[in-house]
Amino acid sequence: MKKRNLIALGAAAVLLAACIPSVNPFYTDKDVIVDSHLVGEWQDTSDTNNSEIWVFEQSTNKAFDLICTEEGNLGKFNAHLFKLKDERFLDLIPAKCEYASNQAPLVGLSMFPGHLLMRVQLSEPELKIVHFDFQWLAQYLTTNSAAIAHHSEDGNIVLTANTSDLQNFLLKHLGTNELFQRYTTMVRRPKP
Amino acid sequence: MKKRNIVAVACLAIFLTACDLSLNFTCISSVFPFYTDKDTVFEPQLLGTWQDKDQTNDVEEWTFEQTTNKGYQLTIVDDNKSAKFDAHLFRLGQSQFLDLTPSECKYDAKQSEMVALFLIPGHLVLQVEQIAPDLKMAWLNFDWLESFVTNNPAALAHQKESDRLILIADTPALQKFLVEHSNTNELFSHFGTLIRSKRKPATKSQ
Repeated sequence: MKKRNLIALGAAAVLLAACIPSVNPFYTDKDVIVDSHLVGEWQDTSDTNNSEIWVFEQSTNKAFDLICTEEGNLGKFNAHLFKLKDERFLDLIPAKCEYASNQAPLVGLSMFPGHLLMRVQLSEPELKIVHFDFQWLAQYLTTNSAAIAHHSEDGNIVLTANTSDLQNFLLKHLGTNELFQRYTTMVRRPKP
Repeated sequence: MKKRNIVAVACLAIFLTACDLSLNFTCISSVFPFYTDKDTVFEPQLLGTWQDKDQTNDVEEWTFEQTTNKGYQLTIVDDNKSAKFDAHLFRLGQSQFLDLTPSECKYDAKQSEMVALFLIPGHLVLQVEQIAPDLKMAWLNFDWLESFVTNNPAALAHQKESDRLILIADTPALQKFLVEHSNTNELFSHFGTLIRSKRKPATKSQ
């Protein structure tokens, strides 16, 4: 069976579109923190084939470059580690997107990248990450449509709230069985 | 000289390959559609296959087919590349527009699937000046729009991500802006003409 990547795993067999990105970042500059412990190569402890590797490199201006390798396929992201109250989060957005060469370019010009968020616990030798429980969020927005600005179209949801509203929403829903539910544990990848 | 396709009228050819998100795109898409159901119209004359009036070889074709509920499926085929869009023709006052959003998106097979999870299909809009006998349309003038919202940030809700402008205004605000600026030769300024394809009915893309 083809392995699903860490984010898709959380969407558990739901379509890829089940992710709920945000147009606006989840952080402001003043929230961003530096922790050089994040730098390095990480792998999922439950991934016995070691097929998905996350490599964090220090970038400029308190940001990280994240390179995800998944069965030989690459994804590059801009990552910002930030803190709200005592909680740490990681905001990710693709640094680059490549489209199929047989696809007319207008598709790529219509698409734009959103931000996804992970809650992070970094305590050597482990990196624990959990992204939104998209199912919970979708359900919550169905019954509380005014809770946070969003747009729903063809079953896809995009958060359109500004950063301040996003942060308030996050902090309000940190409880068990709310926005963040199942952590994935990553460990440092042994040097070859 | 490379043919001028209808996309290239507004979007320079340099953007037509892999999309480095750090580049300053000239295309501006919207999170929200530019139409509501009550604005949509179905115009049978739009159905069929169209090509740029000035193209002779290596023809780019736009094929409109009817879907349900006053919508169209637009298939664009160009240089063996294809794409499908959900298209909605709609009317605001005396003006007609076409809203396009990708109905599918294919990514480079060597790219991690994770990237696709972050990508959001946006809406593009064209003003439709005439449908028959020739189809005359214009894309948003992206340069003008970018300059306008930079100088008038409250005029239309937007977000800049890596220097790329994304409209986040809701549909009523988008429509108000369209109505205010569509007949001033500013927002839509470069009309292109498509004629009925001279070829046999368009090959269906995969």
